[in-house]
Amino acid sequence: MRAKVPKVVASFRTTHDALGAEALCREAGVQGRIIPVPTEITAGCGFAYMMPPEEKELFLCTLEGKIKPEGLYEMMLRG
Amino acid sequence: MILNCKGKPCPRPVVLSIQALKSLPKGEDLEVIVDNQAAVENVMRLGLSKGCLVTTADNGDSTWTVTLTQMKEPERPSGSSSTKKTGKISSALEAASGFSSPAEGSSSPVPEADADELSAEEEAAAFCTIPAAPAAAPRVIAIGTNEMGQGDSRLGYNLMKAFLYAVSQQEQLPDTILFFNGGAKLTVEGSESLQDLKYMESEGVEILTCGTCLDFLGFTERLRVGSITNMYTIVEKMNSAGHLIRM
Repeated sequence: MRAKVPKVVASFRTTHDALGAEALCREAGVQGRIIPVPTEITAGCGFAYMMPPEEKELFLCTLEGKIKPEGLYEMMLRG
Repeated sequence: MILNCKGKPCPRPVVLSIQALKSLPKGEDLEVIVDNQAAVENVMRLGLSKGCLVTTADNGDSTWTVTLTQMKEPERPSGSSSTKKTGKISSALEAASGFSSPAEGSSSPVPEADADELSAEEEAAAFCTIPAAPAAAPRVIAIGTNEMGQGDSRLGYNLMKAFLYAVSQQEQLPDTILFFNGGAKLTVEGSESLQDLKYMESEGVEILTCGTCLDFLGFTERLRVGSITNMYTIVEKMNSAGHLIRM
Protein backbone atom coordinates (compact mmCIF):
# COMPACT_ATOMS: atom_id res chain seq x y z
CA MET A 1 0.00 0.00 0.00
CA ARG A 2 1.36 3.38 -1.06
CA ALA A 3 2.31 5.52 1.95
CA LYS A 4 0.30 8.61 2.78
CA VAL A 5 2.16 11.87 2.28
CA PRO A 6 1.18 15.52 2.84
CA LYS A 7 -0.72 16.99 -0.10
CA VAL A 8 -2.60 20.14 -0.89
CA VAL A 9 -5.97 19.57 -2.50
CA ALA A 10 -7.95 22.31 -4.20
CA SER A 11 -11.67 21.96 -4.70
CA PHE A 12 -13.67 23.98 -7.22
CA ARG A 13 -17.18 25.26 -7.63
CA THR A 14 -17.71 23.36 -10.87
CA THR A 15 -16.19 20.46 -12.80
CA HIS A 16 -15.40 22.92 -15.61
CA ASP A 17 -13.37 25.04 -13.19
CA ALA A 18 -11.44 21.96 -12.06
CA LEU A 19 -10.59 20.93 -15.61
CA GLY A 20 -9.82 24.53 -16.57
CA ALA A 21 -7.46 24.80 -13.61
CA GLU A 22 -5.73 21.59 -14.64
CA ALA A 23 -5.16 22.97 -18.14
CA LEU A 24 -3.70 26.22 -16.80
CA CYS A 25 -1.49 24.33 -14.35
CA ARG A 26 -0.24 22.07 -17.08
CA GLU A 27 0.85 25.10 -19.13
CA ALA A 28 2.52 26.66 -16.11
CA GLY A 29 4.30 23.44 -15.18
CA VAL A 30 2.60 22.92 -11.81
CA GLN A 31 3.37 19.40 -10.59
CA GLY A 32 -0.16 18.33 -9.74
CA ARG A 33 -3.01 16.25 -11.03
CA ILE A 34 -6.76 15.82 -11.18
CA ILE A 35 -8.21 13.35 -8.69
CA PRO A 36 -11.76 12.52 -7.59
CA VAL A 37 -12.68 14.84 -4.71
CA PRO A 38 -11.56 12.98 -1.55
CA THR A 39 -14.49 11.88 0.59
CA GLU A 40 -12.91 13.74 3.54
CA ILE A 41 -13.79 16.98 1.71
CA THR A 42 -17.23 16.05 0.44
CA ALA A 43 -19.28 12.93 -0.12
CA GLY A 44 -20.35 14.40 -3.46
CA CYS A 45 -18.88 13.58 -6.85
CA GLY A 46 -16.39 15.91 -8.45
CA PHE A 47 -12.83 16.61 -9.46
CA ALA A 48 -10.16 18.19 -7.31
CA TYR A 49 -6.58 19.20 -8.06
CA MET A 50 -3.94 17.53 -5.91
CA MET A 51 -0.37 18.81 -5.58
CA PRO A 52 2.64 18.56 -3.29
CA PRO A 53 2.62 21.36 -0.66
CA GLU A 54 5.58 23.12 -2.31
CA GLU A 55 3.53 23.66 -5.49
CA LYS A 56 0.79 25.59 -3.71
CA GLU A 57 2.19 29.09 -4.37
CA LEU A 58 2.75 28.46 -8.08
CA PHE A 59 -0.74 26.93 -8.27
CA LEU A 60 -2.37 30.00 -6.71
CA CYS A 61 -0.38 32.42 -8.90
CA THR A 62 -1.32 30.46 -12.00
CA LEU A 63 -5.03 30.64 -11.26
CA GLU A 64 -5.10 34.19 -9.96
CA GLY A 65 -7.72 36.30 -11.71
CA LYS A 66 -8.83 33.34 -13.80
CA ILE A 67 -10.28 30.56 -11.68
CA LYS A 68 -10.98 30.79 -7.97
CA PRO A 69 -10.63 27.54 -6.03
CA GLU A 70 -13.54 26.90 -3.71
CA GLY A 71 -11.33 25.49 -0.97
CA LEU A 72 -7.74 24.51 -0.24
CA TYR A 73 -7.10 21.57 2.04
CA GLU A 74 -3.94 20.14 3.51
CA MET A 75 -4.32 16.42 3.94
CA MET A 76 -2.49 13.11 3.97
CA LEU A 77 -3.04 11.18 0.76
CA ARG A 78 -1.42 8.29 -1.04
CA GLY A 79 0.80 9.03 -4.02
CA MET B 1 -33.67 -18.18 20.45
CA ILE B 2 -33.31 -15.72 17.60
CA LEU B 3 -29.83 -14.63 16.58
CA ASN B 4 -29.75 -11.60 14.29
CA CYS B 5 -26.60 -11.71 12.18
CA LYS B 6 -27.63 -9.20 9.54
CA GLY B 7 -24.70 -7.10 8.41
CA LYS B 8 -22.18 -9.47 9.97
CA PRO B 9 -19.67 -10.94 7.53
CA CYS B 10 -18.36 -14.49 7.83
CA PRO B 11 -17.21 -15.98 10.09
CA ARG B 12 -19.18 -13.93 12.65
CA PRO B 13 -22.55 -15.66 12.08
CA VAL B 14 -20.90 -19.04 12.64
CA VAL B 15 -18.93 -17.83 15.69
CA LEU B 16 -22.08 -16.37 17.24
CA SER B 17 -24.07 -19.50 16.39
CA ILE B 18 -21.49 -21.73 18.08
CA GLN B 19 -21.67 -19.56 21.19
CA ALA B 20 -25.47 -19.45 21.11
CA LEU B 21 -25.70 -23.23 20.73
CA LYS B 22 -23.61 -23.64 23.86
CA SER B 23 -26.08 -21.69 25.97
CA LEU B 24 -29.25 -22.74 24.17
CA PRO B 25 -31.83 -24.28 26.54
CA LYS B 26 -32.67 -27.89 25.78
CA GLY B 27 -35.47 -28.28 23.28
CA GLU B 28 -35.25 -24.73 21.99
CA ASP B 29 -34.50 -23.94 18.36
CA LEU B 30 -31.83 -21.51 17.27
CA GLU B 31 -33.00 -19.21 14.48
CA VAL B 32 -30.09 -17.47 12.81
CA ILE B 33 -30.99 -14.56 10.53
CA VAL B 34 -28.32 -13.80 7.93
CA ASP B 35 -28.14 -11.60 4.85
CA ASN B 36 -25.91 -13.50 2.46
CA GLN B 37 -25.82 -16.90 0.86
CA ALA B 38 -22.33 -17.73 2.10
CA ALA B 39 -23.49 -17.28 5.70
CA VAL B 40 -26.56 -19.46 5.01
CA GLU B 41 -24.35 -22.30 3.81
CA ASN B 42 -21.79 -21.88 6.58
CA VAL B 43 -24.40 -21.89 9.35
CA MET B 44 -26.12 -24.88 7.70
CA ARG B 45 -22.83 -26.80 7.70
CA LEU B 46 -22.32 -25.95 11.34
CA GLY B 47 -25.83 -27.16 12.22
CA LEU B 48 -25.39 -30.43 10.39
CA SER B 49 -22.05 -31.08 12.05
CA LYS B 50 -23.69 -30.51 15.44
CA GLY B 51 -26.34 -33.09 14.62
CA CYS B 52 -29.11 -30.51 14.35
CA LEU B 53 -32.09 -30.66 12.02
CA VAL B 54 -31.46 -27.73 9.67
CA THR B 55 -34.12 -25.79 7.78
CA THR B 56 -33.66 -22.63 5.77
CA ALA B 57 -36.30 -20.05 4.87
CA ASP B 58 -35.97 -17.18 2.43
CA ASN B 59 -37.51 -14.18 4.18
CA GLY B 60 -37.99 -12.38 0.87
CA ASP B 61 -36.10 -9.27 1.93
CA SER B 62 -32.61 -10.52 1.07
CA THR B 63 -32.37 -12.22 4.44
CA TRP B 64 -32.64 -15.88 5.30
CA THR B 65 -33.49 -17.65 8.52
CA VAL B 66 -31.53 -20.80 9.20
CA THR B 67 -33.22 -22.81 11.93
CA LEU B 68 -31.15 -25.31 13.89
CA THR B 69 -33.30 -27.77 15.80
CA GLN B 70 -31.46 -29.75 18.45
CA MET B 71 -32.00 -33.49 18.13
CA LYS B 72 -32.24 -35.69 21.19
CA GLU B 73 -28.94 -37.43 21.62
CA PRO B 74 -28.61 -40.79 23.29
CA GLU B 75 -26.49 -40.83 26.43
CA ARG B 76 -22.89 -41.41 25.54
CA PRO B 77 -20.43 -43.14 27.76
CA SER B 78 -17.76 -40.82 29.15
CA GLY B 79 -14.37 -41.02 27.49
CA SER B 80 -15.66 -40.69 23.94
CA SER B 81 -14.15 -38.03 21.74
CA SER B 82 -17.10 -35.72 22.28
CA THR B 83 -17.03 -35.90 26.06
CA LYS B 84 -15.50 -32.49 26.54
CA LYS B 85 -18.00 -30.64 24.38
CA THR B 86 -20.97 -32.55 25.77
CA GLY B 87 -19.78 -31.80 29.25
CA LYS B 88 -19.62 -28.12 28.48
CA ILE B 89 -23.09 -28.04 26.99
CA SER B 90 -24.47 -30.02 29.91
CA SER B 91 -23.13 -27.55 32.43
CA ALA B 92 -24.52 -24.67 30.42
CA LEU B 93 -27.88 -26.42 30.31
CA GLU B 94 -27.82 -27.04 34.03
CA ALA B 95 -27.13 -23.37 34.61
CA ALA B 96 -29.96 -22.33 32.33
CA SER B 97 -32.47 -24.78 33.73
CA GLY B 98 -32.09 -23.71 37.33
CA PHE B 99 -29.57 -26.11 38.83
CA SER B 100 -27.68 -22.97 39.65
CA SER B 101 -28.97 -19.41 39.72
CA PRO B 102 -28.96 -17.42 36.46
CA ALA B 103 -26.64 -14.87 38.07
CA GLU B 104 -24.12 -17.57 38.84
CA GLY B 105 -24.59 -19.10 35.43
CA SER B 106 -23.78 -15.90 33.62
CA SER B 107 -20.97 -14.76 35.85
CA SER B 108 -18.19 -16.72 34.25
CA PRO B 109 -14.84 -14.96 34.59
CA VAL B 110 -13.72 -12.78 31.70
CA PRO B 111 -10.66 -14.83 30.71
CA GLU B 112 -12.89 -17.86 30.26
CA ALA B 113 -15.23 -15.88 28.02
CA ASP B 114 -12.25 -14.82 25.90
CA ALA B 115 -11.13 -18.39 25.65
CA ASP B 116 -14.63 -19.39 24.54
CA GLU B 117 -14.64 -16.69 21.91
CA LEU B 118 -11.25 -17.80 20.62
CA SER B 119 -12.18 -21.45 20.45
CA ALA B 120 -15.49 -20.55 18.76
CA GLU B 121 -13.54 -18.63 16.13
CA GLU B 122 -11.17 -21.51 15.60
CA GLU B 123 -14.09 -23.88 15.34
CA ALA B 124 -15.93 -21.52 12.99
CA ALA B 125 -13.04 -21.55 10.56
CA ALA B 126 -13.85 -25.16 9.73
CA PHE B 127 -17.34 -24.22 8.54
CA CYS B 128 -16.53 -21.05 6.68
CA THR B 129 -15.72 -20.71 3.08
CA ILE B 130 -14.57 -17.20 2.36
CA PRO B 131 -16.03 -16.59 -1.10
CA ALA B 132 -13.63 -13.90 -2.33
CA ALA B 133 -10.26 -15.56 -1.84
CA PRO B 134 -8.06 -13.79 -4.40
CA ALA B 135 -6.38 -16.94 -5.66
CA ALA B 136 -9.70 -18.65 -6.37
CA ALA B 137 -11.62 -15.65 -7.60
CA PRO B 138 -9.41 -13.14 -9.39
CA ARG B 139 -10.61 -9.57 -9.63
CA VAL B 140 -10.29 -8.36 -13.19
CA ILE B 141 -10.92 -4.95 -14.73
CA ALA B 142 -11.32 -4.89 -18.52
CA ILE B 143 -10.85 -1.46 -20.06
CA GLY B 144 -11.78 -1.07 -23.73
CA THR B 145 -11.78 2.71 -23.87
CA ASN B 146 -9.79 5.65 -22.64
CA GLU B 147 -13.00 7.45 -21.68
CA MET B 148 -15.31 6.50 -18.83
CA GLY B 149 -18.92 6.40 -19.97
CA GLN B 150 -20.45 7.90 -23.05
CA GLY B 151 -21.44 11.48 -23.68
CA ASP B 152 -18.81 14.14 -23.32
CA SER B 153 -15.37 13.09 -24.50
CA ARG B 154 -13.39 15.51 -22.33
CA LEU B 155 -15.36 14.56 -19.25
CA GLY B 156 -15.01 10.87 -20.05
CA TYR B 157 -11.25 11.21 -20.48
CA ASN B 158 -10.88 12.87 -17.08
CA LEU B 159 -13.28 10.43 -15.43
CA MET B 160 -11.09 7.55 -16.61
CA LYS B 161 -8.01 9.19 -15.09
CA ALA B 162 -9.92 9.68 -11.84
CA PHE B 163 -11.20 6.09 -11.99
CA LEU B 164 -7.72 4.56 -12.31
CA TYR B 165 -6.45 6.82 -9.52
CA ALA B 166 -9.32 5.71 -7.29
CA VAL B 167 -8.65 2.03 -8.14
CA SER B 168 -5.00 2.52 -7.12
CA GLN B 169 -6.15 3.92 -3.76
CA GLN B 170 -8.21 0.87 -2.79
CA GLU B 171 -6.97 -1.41 -0.05
CA GLN B 172 -7.70 -4.42 -2.22
CA LEU B 173 -6.20 -3.93 -5.64
CA PRO B 174 -7.42 -5.92 -8.66
CA ASP B 175 -5.43 -8.96 -9.75
CA THR B 176 -5.43 -8.06 -13.43
CA ILE B 177 -6.26 -5.02 -15.55
CA LEU B 178 -6.81 -5.68 -19.26
CA PHE B 179 -6.51 -2.87 -21.82
CA PHE B 180 -7.77 -3.09 -25.37
CA ASN B 181 -8.92 -0.86 -28.24
CA GLY B 182 -9.05 2.74 -26.92
CA GLY B 183 -8.01 1.44 -23.50
CA ALA B 184 -4.57 0.71 -24.94
CA LYS B 185 -3.94 4.47 -25.01
CA LEU B 186 -3.80 4.37 -21.21
CA THR B 187 -0.71 2.16 -20.96
CA VAL B 188 1.49 3.95 -23.49
CA GLU B 189 3.81 6.94 -23.40
CA GLY B 190 1.95 10.17 -22.75
CA SER B 191 -0.84 8.52 -20.75
CA GLU B 192 -1.68 10.49 -17.63
CA SER B 193 -2.51 7.27 -15.80
CA LEU B 194 0.98 5.75 -16.08
CA GLN B 195 1.89 6.77 -12.52
CA ASP B 196 -1.12 4.95 -11.07
CA LEU B 197 -0.66 1.90 -13.30
CA LYS B 198 3.06 1.62 -12.52
CA TYR B 199 2.29 1.81 -8.83
CA MET B 200 -0.30 -0.95 -9.12
CA GLU B 201 2.12 -3.07 -11.16
CA SER B 202 4.72 -2.65 -8.41
CA GLU B 203 2.12 -3.98 -5.96
CA GLY B 204 1.64 -7.13 -8.03
CA VAL B 205 -1.26 -6.14 -10.26
CA GLU B 206 -0.96 -7.72 -13.69
CA ILE B 207 -1.26 -5.04 -16.40
CA LEU B 208 -1.93 -6.51 -19.83
CA THR B 209 -2.45 -4.63 -23.08
CA CYS B 210 -3.83 -6.13 -26.29
CA GLY B 211 -0.97 -6.51 -28.79
CA THR B 212 -3.23 -6.31 -31.83
CA CYS B 213 -4.54 -2.99 -30.57
CA LEU B 214 -1.07 -1.56 -29.92
CA ASP B 215 -0.01 -2.64 -33.41
CA PHE B 216 -3.13 -1.20 -35.06
CA LEU B 217 -2.73 2.12 -33.24
CA GLY B 218 1.02 2.25 -33.94
CA PHE B 219 1.79 2.19 -30.19
CA THR B 220 3.76 -1.06 -29.91
CA GLU B 221 7.05 0.71 -29.23
CA ARG B 222 5.44 3.12 -26.81
CA LEU B 223 4.09 0.69 -24.21
CA ARG B 224 5.31 1.95 -20.82
CA VAL B 225 3.67 -0.31 -18.25
CA GLY B 226 2.84 -4.00 -18.02
CA SER B 227 3.16 -6.37 -20.91
CA ILE B 228 1.60 -7.25 -24.25
CA THR B 229 -1.04 -9.95 -24.40
CA ASN B 230 -3.28 -11.65 -26.93
CA MET B 231 -6.96 -12.44 -27.29
CA TYR B 232 -6.63 -15.96 -25.83
CA THR B 233 -5.19 -14.61 -22.61
CA ILE B 234 -7.80 -11.84 -22.50
CA VAL B 235 -10.59 -14.43 -22.82
CA GLU B 236 -8.92 -16.70 -20.27
CA LYS B 237 -8.58 -13.86 -17.74
CA MET B 238 -12.21 -12.85 -18.22
CA ASN B 239 -13.41 -16.46 -18.00
CA SER B 240 -11.57 -17.15 -14.75
CA ALA B 241 -12.49 -13.86 -13.10
CA GLY B 242 -14.43 -13.96 -9.86
CA HIS B 243 -15.20 -10.26 -10.24
CA LEU B 244 -15.12 -8.66 -13.66
CA ILE B 245 -15.50 -4.91 -14.06
CA ARG B 246 -15.97 -3.89 -17.66
CA MET B 247 -15.28 -0.30 -18.62
